[in-house]
Amino acid sequence: MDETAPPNIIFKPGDIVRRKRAPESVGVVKESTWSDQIKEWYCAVRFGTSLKTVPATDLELLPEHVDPWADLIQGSFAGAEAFQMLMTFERLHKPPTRISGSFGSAKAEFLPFQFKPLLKFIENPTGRLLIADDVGLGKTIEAGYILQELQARHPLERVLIVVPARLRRKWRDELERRFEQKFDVINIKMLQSFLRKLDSAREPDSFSWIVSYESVRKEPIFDGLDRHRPSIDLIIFDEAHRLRNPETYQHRAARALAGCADSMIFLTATPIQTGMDNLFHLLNLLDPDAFANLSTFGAQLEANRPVIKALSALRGTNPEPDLAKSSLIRLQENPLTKSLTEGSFFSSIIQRLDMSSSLSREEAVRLQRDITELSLTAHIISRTRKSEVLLNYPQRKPNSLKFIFSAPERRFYDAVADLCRLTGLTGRERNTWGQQMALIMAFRMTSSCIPAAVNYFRERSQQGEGILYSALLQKEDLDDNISEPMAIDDNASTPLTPATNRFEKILNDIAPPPGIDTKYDILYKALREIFEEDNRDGRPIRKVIIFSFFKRTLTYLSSRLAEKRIDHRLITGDIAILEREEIIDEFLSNQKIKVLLSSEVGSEGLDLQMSSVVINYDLPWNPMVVEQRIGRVDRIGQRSPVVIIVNLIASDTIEERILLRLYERIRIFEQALGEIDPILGETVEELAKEALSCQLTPEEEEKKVEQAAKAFINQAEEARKVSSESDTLIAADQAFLDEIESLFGHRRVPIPEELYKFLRSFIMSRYPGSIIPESVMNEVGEIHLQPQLSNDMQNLPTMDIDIQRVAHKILKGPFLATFSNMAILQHPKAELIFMRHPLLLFSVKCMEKEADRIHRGFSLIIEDTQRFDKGYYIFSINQFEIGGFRPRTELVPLFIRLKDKQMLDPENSEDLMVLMLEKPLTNEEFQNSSEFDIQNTKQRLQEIFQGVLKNLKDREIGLNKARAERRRATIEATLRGKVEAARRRLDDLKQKQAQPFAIKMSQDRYAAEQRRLDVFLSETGEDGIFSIESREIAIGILKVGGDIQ
Amino acid sequence: MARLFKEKRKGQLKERHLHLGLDFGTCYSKLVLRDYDAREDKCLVIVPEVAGQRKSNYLIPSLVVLWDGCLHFGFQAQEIASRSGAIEFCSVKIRAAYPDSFKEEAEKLPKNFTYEDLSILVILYLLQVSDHFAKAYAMQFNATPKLTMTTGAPMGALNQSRLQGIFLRMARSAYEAFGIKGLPQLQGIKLEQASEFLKFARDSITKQSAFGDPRDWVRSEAEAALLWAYRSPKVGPGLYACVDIGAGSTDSTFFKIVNSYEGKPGNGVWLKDRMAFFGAVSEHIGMDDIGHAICRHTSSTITSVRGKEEHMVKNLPNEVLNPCNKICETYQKAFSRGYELDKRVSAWKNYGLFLIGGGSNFSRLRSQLHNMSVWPGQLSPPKPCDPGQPKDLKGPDGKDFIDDPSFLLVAYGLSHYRAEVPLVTNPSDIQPLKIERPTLSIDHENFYSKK
Repeated sequence: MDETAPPNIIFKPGDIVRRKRAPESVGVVKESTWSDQIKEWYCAVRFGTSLKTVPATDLELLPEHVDPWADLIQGSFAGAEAFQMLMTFERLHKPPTRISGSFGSAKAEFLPFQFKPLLKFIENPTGRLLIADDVGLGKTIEAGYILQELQARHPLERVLIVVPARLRRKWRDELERRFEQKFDVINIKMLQSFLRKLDSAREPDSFSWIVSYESVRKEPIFDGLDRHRPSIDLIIFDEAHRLRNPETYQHRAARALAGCADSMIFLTATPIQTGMDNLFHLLNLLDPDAFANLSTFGAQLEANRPVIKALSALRGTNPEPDLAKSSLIRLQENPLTKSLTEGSFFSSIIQRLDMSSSLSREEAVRLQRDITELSLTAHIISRTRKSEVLLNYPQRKPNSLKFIFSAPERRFYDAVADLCRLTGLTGRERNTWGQQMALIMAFRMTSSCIPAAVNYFRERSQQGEGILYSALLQKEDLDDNISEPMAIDDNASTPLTPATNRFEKILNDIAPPPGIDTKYDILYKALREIFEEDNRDGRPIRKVIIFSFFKRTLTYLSSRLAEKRIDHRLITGDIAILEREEIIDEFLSNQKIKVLLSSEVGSEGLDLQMSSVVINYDLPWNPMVVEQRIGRVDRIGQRSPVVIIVNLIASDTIEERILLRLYERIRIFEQALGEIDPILGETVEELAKEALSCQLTPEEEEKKVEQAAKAFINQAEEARKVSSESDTLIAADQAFLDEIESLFGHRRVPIPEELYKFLRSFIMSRYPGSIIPESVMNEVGEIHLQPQLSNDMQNLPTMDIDIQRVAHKILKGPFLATFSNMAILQHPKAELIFMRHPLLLFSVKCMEKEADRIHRGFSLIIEDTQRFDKGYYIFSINQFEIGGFRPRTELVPLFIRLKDKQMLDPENSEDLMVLMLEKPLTNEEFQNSSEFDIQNTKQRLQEIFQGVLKNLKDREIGLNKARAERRRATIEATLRGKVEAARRRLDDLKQKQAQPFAIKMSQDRYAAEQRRLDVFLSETGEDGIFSIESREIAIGILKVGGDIQ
Repeated sequence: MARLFKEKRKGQLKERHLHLGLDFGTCYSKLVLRDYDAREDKCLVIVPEVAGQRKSNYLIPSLVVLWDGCLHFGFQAQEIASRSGAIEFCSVKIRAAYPDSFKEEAEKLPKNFTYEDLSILVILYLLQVSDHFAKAYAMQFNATPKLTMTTGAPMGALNQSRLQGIFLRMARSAYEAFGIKGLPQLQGIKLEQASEFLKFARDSITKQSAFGDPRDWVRSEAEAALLWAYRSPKVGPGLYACVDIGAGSTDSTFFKIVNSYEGKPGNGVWLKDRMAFFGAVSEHIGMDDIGHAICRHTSSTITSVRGKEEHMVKNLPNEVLNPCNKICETYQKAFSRGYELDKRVSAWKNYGLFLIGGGSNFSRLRSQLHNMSVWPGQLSPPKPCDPGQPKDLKGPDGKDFIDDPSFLLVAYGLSHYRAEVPLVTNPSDIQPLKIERPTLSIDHENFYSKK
């Protein structure tokens, strides 16, 4: 070969270049070297973190302005992977709505309807919302999303959650497990100490507290709160129907707290129990200015009726704009709504309804959203009915297995019942309440499990502690599951000597010999049948949860199941919550473990919907507990169409005659009853006691059960009726749900698979050695990230504590993570990676810096041709960033079919873009653009783009102006109201010569409210704040069908 | 036979930059062709065609056979070897490197031929096989190949200038001969004709004053085998050991993947930029030694044992596994050499172990290596490392290569050219770390004056 002297070097070190064949590859030249083998220049180019060898002939200097159209015309295009990466980046960088970052952020099944309250809350300037969803739709999670979104926008300093005492732990655990939000459960003493701090003029610390109604309803507490009005960023009231009676201390406490709250959320499934006044009192607490008095509230609701009717007319697949219009016109007739119809907003809606003989789904949704603004209640109530969103919720199938005690068991059971009756309930010895309770518990324990009860009583007897040492009995064997811990008077610690003696006699004389346990035999048979049925049908073994009220019963069952080699796990309140979660993880994920033995407390707050069989080994004396047990499995996420409920009941016992009879009568095993009046629990307990004391004849027993059942059924029916009627007055939410669902249907938010690919590609290219296995897309798996990533995350100029948390986590080594909301349910301690996860935030921030270099011209193939004509299409995907009263980002895909130069209609364009996001391939064959007439098609597409932009501008500017007019008035009024309230409060304190600190706090609050109003007024001009920015984010040529020539 | 690639001829042919990784093995050679003009990283395993038929295997015999006055190579040589009068030349590469060790065998060489000549001709034959494949491949892009090549040599050989010279000369001569216009296919080439090509090639390279970086032509096999481990996104910076168990030899190395920060703080990137070898040992012990041990206890031949060792050792005495201990010794020796450079325990903690080469599939050997401590009492057995499947490695049809890539890692590594090959520091370039006992020296005057 001849020696050839190297020609001049084309690229110098530091040159920013891109590959001609893959223009998405932009890099920096490190050096150029001459190859003596083939007499050519090769360059070492750094792309990201990898150094590559590229023939100089395949490189060009990166143009100052990348023109993807010009590149495409020259046959230079990027591939499928780059397209997916770009589209995910753009959707993360400019999400479609302000709340998109919250999507998928909880460790819970992803359910779009649960974001409706968040969307409403964010759009409501008053910062008040009543979430009135049906039971079982996840109100806690909805409140959690709001809490999380507010935290993400601005760290919250003080948050208070007020709940019934029995739910405190559940809330704390749920918030920690699902949202990684740490809350402290506090008691009345801590509230008192908090008030003392305020009294002594000390600034209160930041807090995230959960407190019971029982604690805040004490007069000194709410008086103190009302006196100081400490500023609290967010207050959530769960089971807010408790506040509907203005005469109660709870209501007064809520009113005092409302004065402290910046934002306030009420959660209840039954805002209306007995009448519309219930709803009024709740709304009055939330927004006393808008819902000032009960007498006008009825008129307000009545005035709202045409709005609801108009919204109904636009709902569904065949919207009726004429009906909607005629309903809205009626608003002009009512003095309460007449003013709403006088502005341009109302006339713009009427005009749009006039023009829309056949409405597109999108326009119908947009109209509904605007009409909702006319509603007098919609801004403050979010209501979702089960029937709207859960079409296939599971059916409950109860099965009560009745059995007859063997003779020795019967003798023992009767003897214990007699003893309780004679010594405790009706005997001559007048026992204290605590002693009575101890006797009842002894009886209930015997009913639950005779062998466990016998063993327990014997143990106590041998330890010489007295069998019925009530305080101990309660401490050891009761989970405090249904109400506040029962008060025990001092006498309760006295041993019941006569009862003890008689008990010892019963144990010695008539306790059944070991080995006799009819109830367990029935349980074992039932379990075998379940497992055999699964085997026979070839389906995975169903997981069974056995509930008992007593830990002794559960421990006994555990040893019996072990004898039979049935793999199981046991959880009770004694086990620390973290350990319980591990046990649940194991139970849910290990196929071999078939049974979970649980007390009420053991499973409280845990989701066990992976299991579909509940066995009540004993029946609780409170129907709420029954509902809670079943509710652990009959909840959102239950995949089985049937939930089996098995009750084990001995014939001719109090359990059969009273409890089972009543529970079956009110159909508690068959359907979720919603909120159960606590009165029913008390009635059941009284009935059982009466039956135990033998004060009732069998006929009387039956009659009393029937009375209680009827009362309950009537009450429930009445509530249902009122609630159903109220829907025609207050429900107006469908458009919000449609809007959220449309975001997912049209892929405006990336799905977990896209997030995974994006993150993996980013991390692996910059932090080699990191491992993000593919399995984490759908399951929980271990990811390993390089310490350099942690270092770079910590250097990111942000105060986001979550970024710091994840950065520290990386340093500790590999950790469990997943992108799946379903997988996380089984491993709640793993890291859930969602749109706003720090790793994704960091990746987007890094890519933002290089956004100018991203190549945006593509040549792609879609092989699926079922719906679309085969052939070539030229496309552009355009982004419109719309500011104003409803800020959002819209993606508009445009396609022109090359064959006939026809433009695809919007619906088909949407679907084709979704296909492109799902399974694009790179079209390597496309090299010569001359065949495609790209230049002319580009011009046509850009003309269409300008048309879309103009239409959008015309529509949005007009609408925004109209919306601005309406919303500005509302917001201004709200803000002015807040300023005025703060001013009044300040004057009041000054007049009362309150403590200087209280006055200072009040002054600060007044100043903050005034500032908020000033900012709002300065930012909103006559037309409101409005802007629209548009750009092509991707263009290219798409080949539909793989084998066309 | 169906064509592997769809041929397209439209207008003028372009040139396509292809780089050949040529793993010239003792018994078998492997070829991997990297396409530097592909959109995405891509290299193809070459499966040769013989008489118009594509072979089912990418292992090409490195054998040379002289029969009837002609030299035969590859599969044909394998066929002809059994004919009467055929003379087999095995392991020509080793014999070329160490001629003095094989003086007796040199007698059977054709007159005026050396083992180096035969090695050049084998490389030339492999270049021709690759070229045939490359032309078909490039044609689908309406292009002709522009072929460059890198061959491998044992790491130990490249540390000696004499051996480095031999390997470099062999590679360059073969490449020069490959450039001869009208060069016929080497199969059945007459000795005189072969002699002419060799003379031409030698003369050409003697005339050339510039031949570029020697590493463009020849790189260490140990380093090439580790290139995937180095480049794999699954492997981060850190300390590693690698045992590459081939048929006839085992290479053990201890090395570090070093990274550096490029750019301004907070705005730069971490780059893996270097491999530093602390200890490297190459020994003639490999899976064939286990195979021979099996043959001694059974009536099998070495070829029938290959790949079946796992199953065949089951009922044989333990001594069959003696070669495993020797393979482990190479690993131990590599550590001992590295240890001489740095004697601190902390320097060796938490290293990862790669097992590559065909022998890495033999589970007995794997577990022996994985459970062994090279510094008993101080270091726990290492973390097993798996760089995963190279995403850019494709089968001959361009589809993902789904088989075990262990045998191909050297050729795969050699198929990387220039900038993609990291800087390498060999053990001889590393200065031993001197641990000096810290001494406390107090400057009394200053000490008291400060007080």
